[in-house]
Amino acid sequence: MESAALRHQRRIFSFAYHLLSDREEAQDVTQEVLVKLLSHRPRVEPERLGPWLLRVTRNACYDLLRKRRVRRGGGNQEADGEDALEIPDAAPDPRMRAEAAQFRRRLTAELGRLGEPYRSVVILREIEGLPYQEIADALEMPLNTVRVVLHRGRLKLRERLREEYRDAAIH
Amino acid sequence: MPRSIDLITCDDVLDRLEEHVDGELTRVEAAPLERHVRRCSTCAAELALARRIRQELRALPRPKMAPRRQPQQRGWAGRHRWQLAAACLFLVLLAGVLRVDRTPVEPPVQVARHELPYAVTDADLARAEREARYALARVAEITRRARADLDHSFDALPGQERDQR
Repeated sequence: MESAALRHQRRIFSFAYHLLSDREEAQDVTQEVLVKLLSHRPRVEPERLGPWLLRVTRNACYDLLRKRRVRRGGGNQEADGEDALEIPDAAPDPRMRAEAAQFRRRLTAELGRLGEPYRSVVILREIEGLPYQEIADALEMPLNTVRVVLHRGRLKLRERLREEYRDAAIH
Repeated sequence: MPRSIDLITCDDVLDRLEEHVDGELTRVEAAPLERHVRRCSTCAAELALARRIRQELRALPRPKMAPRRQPQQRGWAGRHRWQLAAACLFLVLLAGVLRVDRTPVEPPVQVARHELPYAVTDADLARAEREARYALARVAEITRRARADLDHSFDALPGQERDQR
């Protein structure tokens, strides 16, 4: 059990972090999910453990996001400066480096603005690199729905970044 | 207005753009799309943007769990407030568990917020409760595993030795 928790802990935290854009809250969610794992483990089949953990993580994050919306009176959450990921950039030209950094900031901010289930599916597929079937199991969606949601989620991201970055994308 | 190049339109390209970026199209399916993109700057730009978004998302570094923020300028009680709060909550829970088997019922242990040597917020209590629940769940899991190991050990014993126990 302990090894399962350790094996999945990184993914739980990463998923929660990208959903919440807040490190502290993501750590709280990770601990909460591990508590649930410890208390529900006998009832979860080992082969269903991965999707189960992601589902519990997503639900815990939804609860937090709902509370956050109530506290802040609506609006979506962007990654704040303090918690933004530090992304190394190998581009030699300072102008290109700045442009690349700006693009990533916009991209992560737009990802944070995506509604559900688009955000969860895009995170699990594009960032976590999960296969479609595992995403379908985790989010309890038919496989084809996962494909459609992913397609629409990517399209939304592209639409929001298109005006500003389409020309810059060709280099 | 969709334009047609090599018998496929811009809409056709946009419909299959994601599959192309994912490498899910066969060479036969991808060939007309690529020919179209070479001659259509609009679709070429769209394809480049789709590729860049995919590439940037996949290149995001893994977030790392950070150590909890340290309280600043606090005394011993402040520095260890999580542990203290978790210990208080644990005692309350333990008292509740022990009380179940006792008659007459003893009054539950109660700790008023103003009796604690530091300011306690609702967030402090929520975190302390989470820490305590985590600790209790760990204890329960360790107990369960120990019991399973013990049962397994006794099951493995020859019948005679087990009877002697």
